[in-house]
Amino acid sequence: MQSHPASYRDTSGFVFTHDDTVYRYIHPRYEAQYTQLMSSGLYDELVKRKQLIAHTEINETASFGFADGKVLMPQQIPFISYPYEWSFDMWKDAALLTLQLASASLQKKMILKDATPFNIQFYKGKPIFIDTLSFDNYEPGKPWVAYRQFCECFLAPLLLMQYCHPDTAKIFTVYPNGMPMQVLVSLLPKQSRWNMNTFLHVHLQAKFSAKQKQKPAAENNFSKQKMELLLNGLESFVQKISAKKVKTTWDDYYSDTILGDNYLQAKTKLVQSFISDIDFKTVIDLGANDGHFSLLFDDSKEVIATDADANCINELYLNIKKENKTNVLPLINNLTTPSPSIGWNNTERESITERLKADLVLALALVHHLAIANNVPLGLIANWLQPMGEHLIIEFVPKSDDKVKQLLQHRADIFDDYSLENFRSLFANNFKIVKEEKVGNTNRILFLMTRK
Amino acid sequence: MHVASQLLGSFYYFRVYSISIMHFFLLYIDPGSGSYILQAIIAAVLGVSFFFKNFWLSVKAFFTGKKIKKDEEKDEEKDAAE
Repeated sequence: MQSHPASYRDTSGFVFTHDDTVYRYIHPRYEAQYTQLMSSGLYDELVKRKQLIAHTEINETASFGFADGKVLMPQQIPFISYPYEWSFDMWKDAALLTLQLASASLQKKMILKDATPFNIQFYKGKPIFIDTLSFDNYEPGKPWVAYRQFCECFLAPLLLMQYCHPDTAKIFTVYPNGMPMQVLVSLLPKQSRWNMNTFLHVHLQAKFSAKQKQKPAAENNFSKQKMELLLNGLESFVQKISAKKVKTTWDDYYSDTILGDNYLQAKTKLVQSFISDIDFKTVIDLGANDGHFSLLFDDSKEVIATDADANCINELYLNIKKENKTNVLPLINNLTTPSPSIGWNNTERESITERLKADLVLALALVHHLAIANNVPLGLIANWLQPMGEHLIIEFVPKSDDKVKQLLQHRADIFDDYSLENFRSLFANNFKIVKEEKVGNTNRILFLMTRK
Repeated sequence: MHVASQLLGSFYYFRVYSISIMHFFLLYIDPGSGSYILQAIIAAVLGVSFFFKNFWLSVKAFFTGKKIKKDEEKDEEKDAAE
């Protein structure tokens, strides 16, 4: 029994894994709060609305080695993603969920005692709160202890994506505990202070946090009404935040594609015929772009769609929300610099390389971007793909292809090893090549491979 | 009797005090210096702006209500004239 490396801060309890199942231990000091959560109806209400994960209480706590306290088995989340992998609207929905939970708790004499995006996971297409121990008993008169954390962890990324660029959320890889308001102010443009909400929650807070006040102010005058004003004010502020509109190279990739509709149709047919021959449940779509191929899979398959472009992933997320698709999770991930392991001792939040494993991996229209645009040798690509998935559908794009010609337009062709023969022989070291077919009337080849 | 009630009173106070110490141990994050005063200021500003927003909305409603009425009266006069 080992507690999760990130589960050490909160003395209410901790998360641990046993036999590949995640459990949550509740310390006796949290008993009053847990009782309030369960008996007040708050737990039932939030689970019913699918805003909080359900759990079952395990009676045999002694079998885990605990002398006292409680053990919960929560609903298991199949894939853990981290906030710096989310796109703008995923962040916005997570922030709104946090505020809605704080408001809902208030009606049942409780409040959230922390406000970090690590309390939220995406499950079946929607954000869901996973930290059952985050609820505390509300003491009338006290302000919100998690207010500063909410601003540093949620407002900061949202405002960076609004005032600066939608790609900036990945900065939170290095600010997992929130970006201090003074740092945020230094990055936002001067005009941001003219927005009343930004001025109050960011600029004014930055000024306050600069002063280390010795004498604690009287903290008992913050009525429930003021708390509601604060939470509602934050909620309407977040609702109004929208990402800056920028044009990126990947926006219209498939619609502007050099090769036309025939190519996409032919590729789709081929992929569908390949997958009918294999047994799989989980899929990773690398370089998913608009998610065309991720969306081909039915609800029984769980798909993780990754792409380096923040706009593409955001569009895919909005599409998934609109269509109520529950089996696709879109994430921002640059394959040449994937999310690292961070936190205390670099173990709290593990790298995406460790998390991204599936039965089937799709690497469509990808290899040439890695090998040519990013200079990654084919051998390294084959070695990287091998541990990722049991089956692989990969598209080889030769130098005769118009897209590769475009990539090589302004640079020296140093890629002597980039050829179909070499691709085949390098991949055959790690995979058994099951199928190989031309895509429509192009020079591109689609392979179906199985890991050796 | 008096002593007993005093003892009971101090026991109750101790129990409440120790519960609040236990509760204190659950608040593991640092709210930040000045965070509490800031929240009070923000709540006050939001309260005022909420008040003025409602005031402005009711003023608007008053005027648009009046305007609709005027138009209705004009239409009625037109119909009557025809």
